[in-house]
Amino acid sequence: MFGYIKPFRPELRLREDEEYKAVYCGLCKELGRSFGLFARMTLSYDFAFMAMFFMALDEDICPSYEKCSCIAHPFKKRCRCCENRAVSLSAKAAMILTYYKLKDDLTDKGFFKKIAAAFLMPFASSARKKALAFGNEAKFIDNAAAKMMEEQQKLEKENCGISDMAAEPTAKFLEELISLGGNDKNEPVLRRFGYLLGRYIYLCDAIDDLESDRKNKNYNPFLLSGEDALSEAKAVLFMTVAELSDDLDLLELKRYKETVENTVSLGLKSEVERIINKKGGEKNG
Amino acid sequence: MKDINAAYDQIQKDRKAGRTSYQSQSYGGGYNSGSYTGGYYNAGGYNQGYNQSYSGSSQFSDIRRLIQQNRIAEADELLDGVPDYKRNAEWYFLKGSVYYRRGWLGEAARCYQRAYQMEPGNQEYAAAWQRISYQRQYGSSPMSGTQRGCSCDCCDLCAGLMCLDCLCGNWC
Repeated sequence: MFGYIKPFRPELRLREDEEYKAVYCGLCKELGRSFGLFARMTLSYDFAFMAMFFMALDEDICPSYEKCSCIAHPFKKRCRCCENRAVSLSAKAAMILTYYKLKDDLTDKGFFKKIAAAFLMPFASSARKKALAFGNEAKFIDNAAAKMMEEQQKLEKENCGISDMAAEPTAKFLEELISLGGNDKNEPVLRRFGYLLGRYIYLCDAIDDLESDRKNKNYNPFLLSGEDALSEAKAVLFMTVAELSDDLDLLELKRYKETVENTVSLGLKSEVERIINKKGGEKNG
Repeated sequence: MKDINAAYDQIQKDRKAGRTSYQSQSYGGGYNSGSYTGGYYNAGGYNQGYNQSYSGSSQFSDIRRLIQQNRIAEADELLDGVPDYKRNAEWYFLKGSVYYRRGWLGEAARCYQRAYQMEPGNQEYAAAWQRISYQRQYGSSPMSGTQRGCSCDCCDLCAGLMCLDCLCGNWC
């Protein structure tokens, strides 16, 4: 995933901001501990959110914090969230997804991207194997990710111009991934939340890559959908964000409620605005 | 003092009334009972509350029922089987509901808009399209934005109580 899911930090309380940073650090440390230094490079906001969201959903996971030092910030001790089910699940998901992302990059047309992917592949591949050794949940994620990649390639071959359809594989993958954090009671709501979140990620990424895809003649659903791709994309993303907020209202969050709500109702929206404005500026400038 | 107390009571009463009306409008008894107005968990997407007016005139009442029962694939199959010349505003509205439930929000918006344009006088289509245009423009749903900063409620109440306390002379 690509870092499109983060809180709108100016609106967070100091305590909430500290907690968020602690989860972020906790995930980084867990990636390093379980999968090595390479894995820490793949740290992203999306998986930090996933860890936090899972902790918010599950009362039984009780996050604890500790002070630690960090290579990236050598002079200041930081708080970090200790390892728990949510954090380790996010770390595994991150590794599996990195593997599939690199595998996809290997088929990319860009020369440098291919080289970089080929260079990193052995690390990712061994990290994925390690993750799979941890148990059934990782296998479940791996299957879902493999299916996503297969369906995505099929759609790209068909040159699908309907953005809803193009977003479906990613959406379905996130639906499965997010459903891991649920129970029988909240599963339907959670599945829709995951689906919409996947849509959001895919569409943001598609808009973000619009220019480079045009240049490299890569597939992009918005290149095929006609004239005013940007404003239509913004409307459809805004609608997705609105539906996500509505869906979240129906979920019972045990902790981190404000941060999760902030991320969904403010963070996602400001991210859409950032991407769209950037593109608008490029066009005019 | 009496006036102040009366005014305070009035405010509290209004707030309570305001709150309950808001709750019954958008949350109802939780999503299980299906009274979430104009949203996913409302049985059938957007068609709740307007069903009466349709019971006689709906061409696609069987499809409507399927959507309400969340049997989306079947409903979609039936809709696709309707020949082009029979596809009226209601057809587009129901197709929109099917897309909406599947999470295909772009196509859903297109269909809802089409239904509204074909029959602008229809309350049901107008309500659906209005809600969606709001979402597309503002990135939140009507009725949700103002209520989301819930901490306000409690602060307001606190401030109100402090004010009352001051006026009663307990503090000053």
